[in-house]
Amino acid sequence: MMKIVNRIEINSGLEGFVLLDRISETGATTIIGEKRYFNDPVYLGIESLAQLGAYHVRFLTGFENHAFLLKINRCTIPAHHILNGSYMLKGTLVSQSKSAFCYALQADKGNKVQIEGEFLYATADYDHMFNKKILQPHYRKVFACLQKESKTD
Amino acid sequence: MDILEEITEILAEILDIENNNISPETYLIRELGAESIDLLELAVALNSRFKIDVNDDEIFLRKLRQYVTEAEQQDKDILQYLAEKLPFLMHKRLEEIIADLEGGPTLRVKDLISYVERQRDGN
Repeated sequence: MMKIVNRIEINSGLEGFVLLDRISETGATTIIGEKRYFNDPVYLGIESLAQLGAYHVRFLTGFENHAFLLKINRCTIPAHHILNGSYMLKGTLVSQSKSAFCYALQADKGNKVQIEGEFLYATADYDHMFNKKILQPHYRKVFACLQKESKTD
Repeated sequence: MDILEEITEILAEILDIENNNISPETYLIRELGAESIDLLELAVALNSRFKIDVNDDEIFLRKLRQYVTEAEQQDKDILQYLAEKLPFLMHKRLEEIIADLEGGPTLRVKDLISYVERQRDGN
């Protein structure tokens, strides 16, 4: 009999897949977080913003649906392409439907915008590919940890 | 700018097509080739432009065939059942849709207009 292994394996090439250090504020249309980088490539900053927005979508939907990034409509990045130091990450929900959410997301360093863009997310019912029993508690736990200022992997 | 002009502008931008390819009778999926990702973009754009709540399932008639099946299984009048489930569509339009089911996805630009009008009126 085949054994079903309820485990998620993600090979991101990184030590941890959560690219957020903290979520400090969450409101009906806003979310604020932080991330410290160590001479990291700019695409990790874009991923951090994508994760921040996705957590806000999950927050809004009570973690009842699978949330995923659908499209980055536009995104500007710093010319030097390297991120170093602590960045404040901000997200604002600009428009939404029942299952799609559009955010203005930005990463600031020292009150200067370093990355900013418009990110489109969608939600879908959990299914056999996106297992509710695994994903829902996982995202709830990570979200709770980030709000407690604990870094999680 | 009226609703049709605004929706035309949004569709042209999302689908990267010319405005003159779009009329109220245009099929979004059959003729314009709109895909699910395009429809999600359209949904948030309509929310932003018209400041209305947008239910993707309703506006894009996603459950249309399910409703038809439900009506048949429950031995209900299909037109009446659809009118209850999709109240933004007029009786005449629902008749068109039922007659057109074999042809593929029935969603037309005029259905979006009807939805926006109804949501704007707060009904």
